[in-house]
Amino acid sequence: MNNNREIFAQIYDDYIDKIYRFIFFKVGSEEIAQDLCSETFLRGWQSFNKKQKIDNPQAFLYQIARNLVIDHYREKGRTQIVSADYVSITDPGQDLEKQALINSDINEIRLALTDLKDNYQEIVVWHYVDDLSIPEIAKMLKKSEPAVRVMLHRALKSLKNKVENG
Amino acid sequence: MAKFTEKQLVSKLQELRQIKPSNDWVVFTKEQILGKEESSRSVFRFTLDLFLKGEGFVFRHKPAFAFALAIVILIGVFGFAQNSVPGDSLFTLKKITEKGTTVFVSEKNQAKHNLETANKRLDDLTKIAQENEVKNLAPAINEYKESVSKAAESLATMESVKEIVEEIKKLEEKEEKIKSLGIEIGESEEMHSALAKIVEIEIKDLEKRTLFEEQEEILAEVKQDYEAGNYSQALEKILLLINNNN
Repeated sequence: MNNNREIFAQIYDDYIDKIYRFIFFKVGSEEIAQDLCSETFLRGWQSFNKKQKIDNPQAFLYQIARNLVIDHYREKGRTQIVSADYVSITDPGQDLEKQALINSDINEIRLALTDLKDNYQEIVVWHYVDDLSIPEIAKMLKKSEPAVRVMLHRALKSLKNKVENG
Repeated sequence: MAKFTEKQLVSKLQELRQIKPSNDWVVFTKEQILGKEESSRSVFRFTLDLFLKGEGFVFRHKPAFAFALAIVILIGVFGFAQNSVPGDSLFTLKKITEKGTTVFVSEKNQAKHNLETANKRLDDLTKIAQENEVKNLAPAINEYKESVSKAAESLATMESVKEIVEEIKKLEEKEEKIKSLGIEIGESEEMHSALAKIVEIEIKDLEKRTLFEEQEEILAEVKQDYEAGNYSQALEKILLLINNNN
């Protein structure tokens, strides 16, 4: 049990930033991203504890996160629609350096990313932000590697259009 | 916005790695997640360690003390189980405790006891919904339906309309609260038909009595509620009539 906890603690440390970011791009709210991210790891831990072994923790956590985001949007009655335009990258109270990011190019790219189709957004975040390789993404999406490459190319093109045309 | 080459765009995308959750939140959440599971299993593990591994001198040297300790642990486990909800491993123990108390309930109070149990299941369901424990939802809904069926079966033996109304009202309020949390628990046909039967009997009884004009009006409303299937409202008015008539 203690061993399980140590292993999962390591998984948590390795993936918390990635999973949080992945959810944040989809929901555009720091608070909701925190809620869904903690739920993702809680479920991951419960499952890990039961099965004792998870072949690909990264894919497993992303899958839980995706499902939770879908559930979140399904619960329309409880969903607070937050416009991505009003969401800052970090808590504006944190420091000036971070606050400066809000009006930067990066923020505009983030907004364009939020506006992308779900599958395009995921693939761009996975590959370019979180450094997942094409084979890793192909495995997660259950697609062939060439298909993922094509999809990634289209996604980047679509993002470029959105960034340039607003 | 300025034109970007693909390379520049990729480089800007990589800068998005700056988006991270706050350190405080990361540490707090980690403690919450890895500590949460621990608390519910700790009592079991402690018991198992003592019994299976035979650790501690008490089992080897003082059997009487060991027996007393085992009883204390058992009581502790049962006590701990009272906080469990359907779907938890300790919930079976909670049910056993509840069934144990049923033995001491008289037949005429059985229906009230069953309605109280249904109310407890709704409390469990509310707790699950509020804590978003999705895996416990289906077992909790099933437990609730089972308890309502049982309560419906015993309703006919209930002597006091007042007690029925009180418990049914509580059930309805809690059902509403759960629905507002986005959970659909469905209608209980058994409960509806049991309540319909009670209202029908009470209407027949009231029709035999001599009523004032105002009371006749209330009885007419009761009949309307009965026709519309609003049995708990009908029962409330019946209660009013009975109280006025006595």
